[in-house]
Amino acid sequence: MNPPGQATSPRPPRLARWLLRTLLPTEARHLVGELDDLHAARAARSGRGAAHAWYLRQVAGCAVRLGPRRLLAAGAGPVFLGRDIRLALRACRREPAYAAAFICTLSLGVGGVATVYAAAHWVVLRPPPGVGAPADLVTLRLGAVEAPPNVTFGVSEPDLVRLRERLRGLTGLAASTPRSVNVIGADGQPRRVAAELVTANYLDVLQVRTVAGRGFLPEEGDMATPAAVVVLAYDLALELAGSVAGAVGRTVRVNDRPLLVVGVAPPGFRGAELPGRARLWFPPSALPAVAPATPPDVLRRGGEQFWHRLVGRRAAGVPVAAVAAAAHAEVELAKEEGPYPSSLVAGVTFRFDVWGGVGLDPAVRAQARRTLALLAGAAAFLLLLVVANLASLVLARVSGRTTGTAVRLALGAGRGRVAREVLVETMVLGVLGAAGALLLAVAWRGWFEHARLGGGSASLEGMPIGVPVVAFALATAVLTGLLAGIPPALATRRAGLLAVLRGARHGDRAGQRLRSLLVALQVAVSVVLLVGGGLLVRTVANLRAVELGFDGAGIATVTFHPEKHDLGSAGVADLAQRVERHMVEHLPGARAGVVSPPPLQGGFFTHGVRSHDESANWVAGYYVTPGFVATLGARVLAGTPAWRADSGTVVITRAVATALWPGSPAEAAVGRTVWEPDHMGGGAMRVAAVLEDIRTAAVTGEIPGALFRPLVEMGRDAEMQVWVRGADGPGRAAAEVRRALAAAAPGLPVYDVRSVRATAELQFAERTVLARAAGALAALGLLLAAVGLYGVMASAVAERRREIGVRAALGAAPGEILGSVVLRGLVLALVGGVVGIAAATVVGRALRAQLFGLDALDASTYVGGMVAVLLVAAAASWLPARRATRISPMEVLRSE
Amino acid sequence: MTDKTVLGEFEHHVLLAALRLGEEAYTSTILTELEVRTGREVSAAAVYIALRRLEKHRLVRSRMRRALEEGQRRERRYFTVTPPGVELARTARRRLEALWDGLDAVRVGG
Repeated sequence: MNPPGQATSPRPPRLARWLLRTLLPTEARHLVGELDDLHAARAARSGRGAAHAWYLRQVAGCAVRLGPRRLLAAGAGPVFLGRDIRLALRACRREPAYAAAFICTLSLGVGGVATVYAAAHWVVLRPPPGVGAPADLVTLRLGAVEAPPNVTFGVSEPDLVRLRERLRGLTGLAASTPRSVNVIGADGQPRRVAAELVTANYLDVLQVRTVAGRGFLPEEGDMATPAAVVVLAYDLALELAGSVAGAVGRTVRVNDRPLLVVGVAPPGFRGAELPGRARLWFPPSALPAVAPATPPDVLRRGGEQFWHRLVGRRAAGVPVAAVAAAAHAEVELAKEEGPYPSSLVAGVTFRFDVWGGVGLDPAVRAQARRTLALLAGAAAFLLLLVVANLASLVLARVSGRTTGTAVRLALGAGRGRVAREVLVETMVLGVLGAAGALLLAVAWRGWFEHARLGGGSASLEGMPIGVPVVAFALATAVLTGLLAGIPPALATRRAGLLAVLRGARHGDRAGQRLRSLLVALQVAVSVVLLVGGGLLVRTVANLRAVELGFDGAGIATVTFHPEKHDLGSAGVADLAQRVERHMVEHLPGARAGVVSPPPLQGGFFTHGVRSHDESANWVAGYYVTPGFVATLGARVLAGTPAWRADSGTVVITRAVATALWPGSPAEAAVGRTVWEPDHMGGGAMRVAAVLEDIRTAAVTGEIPGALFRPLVEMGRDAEMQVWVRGADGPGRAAAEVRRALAAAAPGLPVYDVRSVRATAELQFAERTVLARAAGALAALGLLLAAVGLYGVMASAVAERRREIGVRAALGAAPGEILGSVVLRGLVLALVGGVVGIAAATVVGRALRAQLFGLDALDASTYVGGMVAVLLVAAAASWLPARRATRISPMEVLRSE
Repeated sequence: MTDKTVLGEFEHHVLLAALRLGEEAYTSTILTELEVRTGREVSAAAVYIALRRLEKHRLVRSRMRRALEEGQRRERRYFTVTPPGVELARTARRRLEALWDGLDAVRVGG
């Protein structure tokens, strides 16, 4: 200390001095004091500022020259680390139960997080495989101001040609239309394969380099010069030909026509969608072969909605917004320049949605991202729980070794060294935990594999556990292990040597307090997970309980697409009716009907309908065979219940009737006439029956009107779905449909074999996955919290052995002792639970958008979560409590 | 004996400074001595590392000593140059002189 009266010599900057102290190896710590003196001398000589600047330079010098030594001494050096790793492995072998508990806990937590990460990587993080420079691409999609955002329209070939000329910011503009096809596999069996009809420049614009053969030639973009050529996906080429090189030059049977394979796409390429599904691409020149019913002049029709997805490559320096503005201007221009026959001019106001890159449309991707963010949040909570659990596990082990540690300290081991050993040990266990986590991730991947995110558009099929996921799991596991090791390592450093040797258990008590805190934290996190999971599980239960307006569980569906050249539109209707008849004849007591497009899968004809003097109302339109409405089994409000789908008649639902004739009862619509809008032909239709409102499109939200027309009026071939009520399950129905088709149109594959109810449930498959994953994480959390609580209570009982023994000797009944221990566990759980409930309300609000049929603050879910935690806590503390009642006073007193 | 036969320039400087300071040679005095004599700012870490290296080669010896100065207790590592250290300093000087021999013009100019 400076003597009074003397001026205080200036001290170096406090932070810099602390940094210096931290950076210096122990044996060089004396430099701190020496530099203090030099700093003071310099300040007296050249002023405070200069001294400070000099001091900072000295600290920087020490950081550069001595910092690495310090790290080395702290255990980062390979030599020290190697010894520590050997020690850690030996310790794990000595205490296998401890190591196993650590690794299992860590694997469960990190495995969950890694699985979520794998899904996130697959859907939103990875670049689209096989596509060159995806950032320069721009996607254009035609929507209408009047239509919902998910409804898109096609662009005609003449419009595409015009857009190519006018959008000067693009070096290329390609287009595609999804078209699934029937392909005969190597085994001779037909199968449904997702394909794309593409412009000849499609692969060039996407900069996809074929791994064998070539892409498409410019002349193959023209239907007038038929060339039945096809490019296969890498895996499909392997599947059909056995080798990539061997596939080129071969023919594959597509829609029962031979197509020449000219090229094979690079591995992973699935088209411009992400995650894409297409495995086969063909140009317009192959259209006559693939879809013979296509009118030969379809590409020359200005008003035909032909191309559904447009993707362009931007020239250098052209922003996405410029392309969007040009596309918008083109729509306006098309309107003004009439009577140009354009797909951009119709009864609605078109607009282009334009976004940079390829892959999922931003709305879908955002939806998928939200789901994954919620899962990531749940996984993060679980990880927090795992850290708390592991910290408490390691802490228990460290306090069990207090005496050993004290002896080592007494023999001269550095405190830093002992702490380092704890950290290295948890890190080594972390690496082992990562291995376990990856095994679990591979196992749990199956859970997600059939899941669809982003409202069904983003499939997780084929999601790999690849290098990014392995790296992520390893980093997370080691970090988690390290985090879990920090509190115990600090506790070791604090371990009072003298106190331990004197026999005091002070360190233990501090450790016990820390462990209680950690257990309360675990309970809190587990309540958050339980409430979050509970809200989601109940949401799915509510969605399942939604009434469709008919019994969907009893109806089996089988889908097929009659793309056969010899059918024609009349042939298609005839085929559908033959299938229907076959089903009724061969399945006794069953009712059957065929519908197109398949309901509840998001697709329907946006059918315009009007009463004579009004503008068209847009309803969900379906073409059906005579038996369909009876198979549906919806309540008939008025009209013939057994409508036979005669030409010129139509069946509508209550919502349509109310929209067309507001004010008059729905039943009064029977016998009235409705008209198609002019662009559909303007035909008149008589209402034969009115059905009660049914859900044929979306399971939630407002019920849109539905309209059923005779299938014979469809006038083209399209996907068909057979509905069978009273079949012995979907498998039986599928077998019969196969038989019916084999006779009428051999080589047609059937797919989407399930019940109507299952189809409807696909609409909330995303929330089902979310609920299932969140529920599993919550269960895992509860288990881990229970294990943590058990550990703390067990060690508390062991520590209070003497006290309990004395109490027993003084006449305390076993019940009292049991009660006191269980009570302590319950108090811990209650404290954690209350904190957890508070945190859960925040989580519940974040989940609000995902919930259906219940409030974010749904009281019963919160109470349920709390009760579950308290019950588990009671059980977890009851076991150690029972052990406490068996403590014999005699033994305790004798051991004193 | 030492296995080191050549001194680096900075080590040479540090060794000479330690010889000059005798009983009072520790990091900060050596640092000050070097700064005063060479007119260059010297890093304490560099001095420390050089001293530890010299000590490893047994050219200097060190011991911790506590001193009470101006009411503050200071713990310092004091360095003493060993006979091999003195010998190597002499050798280094001889080598330098052999190199300077005959360069009188340059010597005057400097």
